[in-house]
Amino acid sequence: MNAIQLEGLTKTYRTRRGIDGLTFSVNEGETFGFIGPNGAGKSTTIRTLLGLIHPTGGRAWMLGKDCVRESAEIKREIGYLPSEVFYYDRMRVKDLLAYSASFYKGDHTRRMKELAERMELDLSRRIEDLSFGNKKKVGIVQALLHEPKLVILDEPTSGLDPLMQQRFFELLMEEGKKGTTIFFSSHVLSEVQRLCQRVAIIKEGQLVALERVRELTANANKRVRLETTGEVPSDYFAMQGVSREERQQGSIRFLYRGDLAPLTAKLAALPLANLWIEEPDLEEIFLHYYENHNVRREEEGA
Amino acid sequence: MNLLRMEWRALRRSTLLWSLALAATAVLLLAFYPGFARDAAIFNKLLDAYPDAVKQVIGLKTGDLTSLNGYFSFVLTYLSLAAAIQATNAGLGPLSREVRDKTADFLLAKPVTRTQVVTAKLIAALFSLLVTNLVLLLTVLAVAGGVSSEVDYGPLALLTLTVGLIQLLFWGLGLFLAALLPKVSSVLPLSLSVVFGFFAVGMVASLVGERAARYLTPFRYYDPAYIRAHSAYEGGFLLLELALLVLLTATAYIVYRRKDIHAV
Repeated sequence: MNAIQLEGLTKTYRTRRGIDGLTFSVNEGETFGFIGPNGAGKSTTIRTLLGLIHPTGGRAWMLGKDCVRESAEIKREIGYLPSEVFYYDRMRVKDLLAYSASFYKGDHTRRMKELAERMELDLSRRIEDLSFGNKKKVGIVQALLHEPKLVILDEPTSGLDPLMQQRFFELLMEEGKKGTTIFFSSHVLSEVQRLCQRVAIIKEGQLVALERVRELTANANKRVRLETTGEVPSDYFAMQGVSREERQQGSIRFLYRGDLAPLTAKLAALPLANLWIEEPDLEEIFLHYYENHNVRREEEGA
Repeated sequence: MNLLRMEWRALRRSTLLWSLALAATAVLLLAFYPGFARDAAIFNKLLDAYPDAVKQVIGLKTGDLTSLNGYFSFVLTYLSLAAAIQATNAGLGPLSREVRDKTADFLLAKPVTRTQVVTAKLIAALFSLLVTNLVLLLTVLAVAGGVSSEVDYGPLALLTLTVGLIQLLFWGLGLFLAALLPKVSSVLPLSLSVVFGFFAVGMVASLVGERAARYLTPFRYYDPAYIRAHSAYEGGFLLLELALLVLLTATAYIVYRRKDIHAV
């Protein structure tokens, strides 16, 4: 059984773009990344899966149940963290979490305290007095409180400071080890890289790629930027894998794809003042995919 | 149960305030009755001087003020108007609250159906109206004996309960609007326009012709003169109210179940 399965899932709006024929599935126990730029349809997909909005075409299942007809049953086993968290302002954190837990079977008080302690969340405060980051923490505790089989996270790290982000990732990794399926939507590639085994890329409402994270980044461009104290011959980086080289007063930047060994050998021979090798951002990943598509098309044409 | 408790918590305060305010208004206006009764002859003469249309609009007929129930019928016009605002709020507020407060993502991701959500909101609101009407009824019955020596309790109770009947219709209307509108950013202005809209329709239409007007606005469904004379409501209007309530709530359920809840 797949934890999540989409078959041609479509939501069309009269005025704005929705999602268009999404088909993919998430295995049980998998930590699955769902990335795309803002407005690509990530939230629309998640909201359709959760029955907050209704699909105009296609079907979807979660934990073997139909997302439209069996939505309430599905939600017994699901934890959901929305991208922007809003709760009943006048409640205290403790009461809100107890209210949240009251929808599920069993007693979750201990787990609530444990999670709150790990996320450094003060249970006695009022929701309206919380900062954005603290509200997000409430959302995290609320999503994991009832030990769901499937956790759906929509842009979960926005608003969290780096320390809390780290704690949160540790929590998610533990959940993953316990066999919980995690569906993680983000527009930050590095987050997805750290946590996820596989990733679906969505752009303009359509699935662009579905790949193992390892392959995705291995094939992608890295951003290289360096500053030197001496002159570098203009053809010094004329090697395989280098593209879009730019120079500016002792600073050189380019994209690099492929084995890092030949690059580091070249770099080692230079009088370096500074060096950055950075992960590609989403746009560059897309660029990579579009290039590939074009190459394939050309090959097919030839 | 947890849903219902939450909904009731949200309505508790306003229920208390509305109940007290309506009961206090009723007491205050009833307290003027002895004075009116003493000078009834003068008031009747004064009223006679007005054209019929004006009497229609302010809700008084010659001779009305001479009995407690007649005087109370006039009081009811204004009690109903205020009560209708409470009822419209009770229909409109709860059902539109999750979208307005952006808590829909929380609540609708819980293992509850939309039907359960509507039902909890519906029961809590009906309970709120029930409490208000009980408080009003008991207050009116308790005070009546103090302001008049001849009280016709049966019709007085029926007259008081017209407030609840009118409220139910406005509540249904509120529920219907809440389901239909994508988002209600603030409840009171909308409630006020609905209530005063129907009140104005009633006033204008009563100038044109009483018969058609009665169907157009809930405020005219229960004619006090008829109730005083027959100690009963008009069956046709009770049936009409029931049919409208079924229609409005059923539509609210159907529409809310299919509604798309968009990201904020």
